[in-house]
Amino acid sequence: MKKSSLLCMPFFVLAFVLAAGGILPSSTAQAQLSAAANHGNIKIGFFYHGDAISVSGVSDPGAELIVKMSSPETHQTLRKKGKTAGVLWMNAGTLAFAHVPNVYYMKCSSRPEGLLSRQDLCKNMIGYQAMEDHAEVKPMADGQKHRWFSEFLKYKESCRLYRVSDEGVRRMPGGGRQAYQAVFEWPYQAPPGDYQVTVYAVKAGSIIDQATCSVHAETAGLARRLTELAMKHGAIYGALSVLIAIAAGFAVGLIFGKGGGAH
Amino acid sequence: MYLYLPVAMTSIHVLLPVGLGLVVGLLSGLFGVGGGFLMTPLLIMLGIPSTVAAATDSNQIVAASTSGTFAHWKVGNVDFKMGIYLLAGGFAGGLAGVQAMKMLRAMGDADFVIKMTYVVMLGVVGGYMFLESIWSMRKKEGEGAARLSSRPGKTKPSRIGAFLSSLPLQTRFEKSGVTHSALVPVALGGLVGLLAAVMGVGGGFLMVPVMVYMLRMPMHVVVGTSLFQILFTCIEVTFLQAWTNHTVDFVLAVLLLVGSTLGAQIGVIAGRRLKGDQLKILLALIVLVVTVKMVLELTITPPLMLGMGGGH
Repeated sequence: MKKSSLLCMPFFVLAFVLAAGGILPSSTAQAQLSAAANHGNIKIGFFYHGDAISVSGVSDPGAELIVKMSSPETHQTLRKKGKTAGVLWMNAGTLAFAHVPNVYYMKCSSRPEGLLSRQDLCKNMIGYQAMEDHAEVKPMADGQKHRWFSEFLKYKESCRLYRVSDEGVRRMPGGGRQAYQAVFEWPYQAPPGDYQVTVYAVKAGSIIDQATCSVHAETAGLARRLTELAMKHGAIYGALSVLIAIAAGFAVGLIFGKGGGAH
Repeated sequence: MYLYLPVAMTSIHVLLPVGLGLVVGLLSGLFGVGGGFLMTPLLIMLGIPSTVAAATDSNQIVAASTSGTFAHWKVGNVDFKMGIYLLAGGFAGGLAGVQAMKMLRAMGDADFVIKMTYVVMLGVVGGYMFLESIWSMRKKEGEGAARLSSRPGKTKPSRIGAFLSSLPLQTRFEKSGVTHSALVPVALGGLVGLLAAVMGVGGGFLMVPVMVYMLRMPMHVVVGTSLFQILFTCIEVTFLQAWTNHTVDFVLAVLLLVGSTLGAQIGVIAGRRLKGDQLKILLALIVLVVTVKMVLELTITPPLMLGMGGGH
């Protein structure tokens, strides 16, 4: 063993002891990113009006965090407006948007474009620009994709299915680690299904770790039974809807009749 | 209190659809229209998908028109014979309209035809009803003054009236106090059914003027008979939409019908206190307001350039 190595030995031992005791921050020991949602299973019942989902965990201290919650990529066809005869706004065909999620929510501790390269953002589908680069829009004339993708984002935000914020991740450093929390207002417009939460820890311009957890939303109770009846037994559901409407109409008519509503 | 709508897959405050139902039910009981031309756009504004809004609206119209028909029947304002003839024609016209729409959609002109038919029909019907009612009210005032100085003469039948009288299968509609060939209500019902299918509405706002001006029925019998006809049209539409498209949201329909059945009864009571011409002017004004709204929608740049697929 070289003499210089022997001289450094006490320093390494001291550093190990301090790190083990949590005195010195150690990127290898504490970079383990964790993520958990308070609601892994959202029950969409009769009185459901959205929910609040809190994503929390621990990360490497000082790491910037990006928390993304989205549904699987899908294919969506929307009607587009256009001018007919140069005057009247009407539906002018459809546009198919492929490789886009139906629901996309994101919160960050800092602006993602300032943290990562465009390549990294695209690779991980972080932010609207990445989504636009990844998406396929058909039929589309050259140079028109950006315009129509912006309209797509406007539409999705108006439906409360997309939200992107450069803030909203609370970081709480302490004990050589960094706890974090991001609270999402889960929209009632989000349909039942599986959603994935992905947390990225970013340092020095690159993703140093990522963690995932899932959120499942499903109808429950009477809402579930009605959905199943409507989808699986449409004829019975339709007949019941008609009969109940007729009965309600007659019932109200009788009540008003007894009250002396006639001439 | 919010309720989740399982088919529309959205949540809504209960007072919104109940209040909306009350207003539209009131119009239904007052004028004999289903109110689909008002209700469906308002539901879409509340965030209900257009296909679910249209189908669920039919479901609540079943309740409102049952309530309204029942109330009108009790006071003798439903001409069942006329209603059945109109219904037969309307059913055939509806089938023809659905086929016409299939052809137009294949040609890619459907949206243009629907929107223009809507604007033209609403504008013509609303404008004509409004002007005719004003003219009729003035004429009655004038007649009241003239009656004192001169004797009334015989009215000369119009060419159209003479032609209608010459048609075969003449039959008396006692409740309405008119005599027509059975072919007339069947043909007119067919025309309204065709237009209603093209426009995607129940057709009440078209049927009422047809009964008033072409079949010469008294306004109060028109309202009851129109509701009777709408009831059957909407039963068919609700069932078919639920069975084939799964777009009827029963929870939303119940909330709407709570309001609309009450509104229909209040409308019937209010209607008895208004004169026929006053009813026609009010309906004409509502139709004209909807026409103006549609024209503005067609000419002002929309806030969103993309929308959900389906519906008109």
